[in-house]
Amino acid sequence: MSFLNYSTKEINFKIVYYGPGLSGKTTNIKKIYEKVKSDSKGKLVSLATETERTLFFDFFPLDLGTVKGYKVKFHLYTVPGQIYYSSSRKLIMKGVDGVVFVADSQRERFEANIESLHDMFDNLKEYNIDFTTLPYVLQLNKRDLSNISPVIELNATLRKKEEPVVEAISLKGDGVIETLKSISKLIMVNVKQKLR
Amino acid sequence: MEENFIIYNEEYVLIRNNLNDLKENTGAEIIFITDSEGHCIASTGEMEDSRLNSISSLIAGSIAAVNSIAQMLNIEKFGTILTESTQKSLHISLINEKTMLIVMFDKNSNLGIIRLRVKTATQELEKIFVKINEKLHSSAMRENDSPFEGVSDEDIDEIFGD
Repeated sequence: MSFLNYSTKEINFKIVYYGPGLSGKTTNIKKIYEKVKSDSKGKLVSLATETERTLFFDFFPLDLGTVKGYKVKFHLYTVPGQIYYSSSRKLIMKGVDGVVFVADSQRERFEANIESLHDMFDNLKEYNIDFTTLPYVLQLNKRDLSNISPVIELNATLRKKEEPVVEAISLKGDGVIETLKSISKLIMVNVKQKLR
Repeated sequence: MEENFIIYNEEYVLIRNNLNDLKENTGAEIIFITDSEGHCIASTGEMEDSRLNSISSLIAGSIAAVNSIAQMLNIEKFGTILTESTQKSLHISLINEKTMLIVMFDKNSNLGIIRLRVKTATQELEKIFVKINEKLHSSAMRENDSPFEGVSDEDIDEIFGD
């Protein structure tokens, strides 16, 4: 649910990076944070455990500039991937405007991707969010590793609608901005249609 | 799916006036309103926007967590939450199910006065938010200048510097 203020001419969107544990959600956010100019970003908040696993969420506000005189701001969140943080994931999905599913391309994480995807559908359902109209991007991460499933195989199982698919190596920053651009465009096009 | 949350100038001015009065009456440092999704809706006092956004998202997250605890304990929602320190303290109170009022104050402010003034302020703010919701559901009141009307793919590309 975007927040539009006609008085201050600001529009805010919420993007959530979803996916199984250790798929690279936090790495995506951190790479975006490194790449964007300092005057267009707020502080990166990371609620992590001692071993740097996400405990609650990572967050930072990103100011993308203006469109037709309106300031466009994105709030980027990750969810904790571990199975047992289900309640936290649900809370973070509230009011989401767009989701990036960060899939782990490694063969041994194939099942974990499917499980996380189902968990995401359950959480969307809880908030009556219609997946068919939700701006959504599938990112196939860790494409540089040797033990990965082919893209065609991952797409056959994980691609649930005609969503854009981005191959990424988030540790190197490859595909990270492309993913953000892709989801941002989908969100803006979606809101443009809704506000008509 | 929930609708987009839109605030128009008239109500925004009312909210700002309410926050300014509250700040003056309590001597608080910063007062702001955030929604349950972590968007900062309005504020008064000196703080950078980006910092305020981060704090708003954290407060929304912590309130959601606290209310989940309440649910698990089969108790009513927490209407007010107070976090105190020797330097700065936060008084958080729910305006309605989706919005909360946050007062950040230091030792120069009196907690009793804050509690009293916040109570009145939240009642007034609640009425304003009822008005906002009524407007949201009245298509006739919607402004014509949708921010994305007429926005092309090129305009969107431009904000990414493409």
